[in-house]
Amino acid sequence: MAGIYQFEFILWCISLLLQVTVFIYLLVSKKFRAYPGLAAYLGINILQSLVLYCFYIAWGFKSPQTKRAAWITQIPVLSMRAWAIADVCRLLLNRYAGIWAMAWRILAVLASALLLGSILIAGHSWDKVVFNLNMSLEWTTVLLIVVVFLFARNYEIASSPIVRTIALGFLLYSSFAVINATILNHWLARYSDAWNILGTLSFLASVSLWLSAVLKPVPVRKKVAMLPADIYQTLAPELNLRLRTLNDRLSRLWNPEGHRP
Amino acid sequence: MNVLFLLPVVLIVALLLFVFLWSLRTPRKPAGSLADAASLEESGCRHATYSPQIKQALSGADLEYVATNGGDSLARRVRRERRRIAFAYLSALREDFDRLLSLGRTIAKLSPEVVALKEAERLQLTAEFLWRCRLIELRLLLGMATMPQVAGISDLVSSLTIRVEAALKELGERAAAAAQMSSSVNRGGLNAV
Repeated sequence: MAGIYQFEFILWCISLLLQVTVFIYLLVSKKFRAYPGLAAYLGINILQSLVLYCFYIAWGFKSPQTKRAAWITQIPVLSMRAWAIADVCRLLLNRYAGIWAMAWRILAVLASALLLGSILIAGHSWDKVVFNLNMSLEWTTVLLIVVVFLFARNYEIASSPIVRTIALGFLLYSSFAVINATILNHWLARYSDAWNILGTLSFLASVSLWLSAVLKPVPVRKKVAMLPADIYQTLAPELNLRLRTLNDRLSRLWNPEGHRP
Repeated sequence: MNVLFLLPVVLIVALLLFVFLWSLRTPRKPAGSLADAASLEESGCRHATYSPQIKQALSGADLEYVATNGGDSLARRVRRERRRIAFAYLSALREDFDRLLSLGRTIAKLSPEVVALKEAERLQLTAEFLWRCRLIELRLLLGMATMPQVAGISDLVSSLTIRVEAALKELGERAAAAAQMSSSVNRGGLNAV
């Protein structure tokens, strides 16, 4: 294998094998219907690995063509990852129509803002643009997952262990990628070999988590009985008004001038 | 080898991971359902009924009487005890409001349409409320709040709790009606949350 160190190549093979296992299992067990985002993401990842393998053989591991191919093939991979994460959000919240309708809009705005920010600060040179964009997308992944679970927590929505494990897989990988990319940015030349190995290791851990998640039976999603819409429309403003009144009065009480009539 | 450049990133990532794991914790109270909402009116918001006793306990006249007839030492002890009671009372009233907020969230969760601005406003008001409560509790703890101020707090929270009680009663009745209506349409689906 031109350019690829043996240890890294073994890791890469194990990672690919694990991905293929999860992907085939999802297809054969028809669980891809329950987790379409994850299945698509793994499918595209496998394809990327095969394409890059061909590039390594043809041009070598450190050639500019291979590097460019590696960055370009990241685009569909990241798109599929966005789908997989949207899928996690859907699995977590979509039984609650109102909350889900609100949450996906907020998450879409948040994701768009982060993406726009990423593009604006990505720089101008080709290498820097893709690298910075990739790092920003990892940040976006981490933030989105944390926000969506905070959302669920706020509304006391219980998450199934499968959704949690899938989310944890993405979170771990992206968190590690952020740290890894920061180090790479600082010590580019000295760190690049270790960067690949550590990146593969963290991905391996994530795929193992996804495998453990998809092996569990798909939980039955019971229908949730909804309240009539007018209950919320009437009571939400009332509740806020009461809280505001309370805060105003507490504030006056705290401030000595508040005792004046 | 200087690794300080990495510290902010590692700290932020660690914080986010911590928040994620915290969000996975099982809530102290089980997730709300229509049945919970219906039972809230019966179980909760009863602390306001102790308002006259609390007011009596915090009245200046009482303390003056104790000081005159029982001496300064007894008066100090009584003041300390009463402050402790006021503290517990405030904390109990905060629980009432927590319950009301939880009900608000349950209603939002079970509503087909939710307004983001209203939810954000409630989140902000809740944070403000908790912050102010903590400040007042701290003031009580440090003995910085005078007895008339504490009595003022008692008046304030009891009057608002009465309003909350009325709201809970209304919510409870409506939630119970909705629960009944839903169960007749879809039996067994009520606790699927």
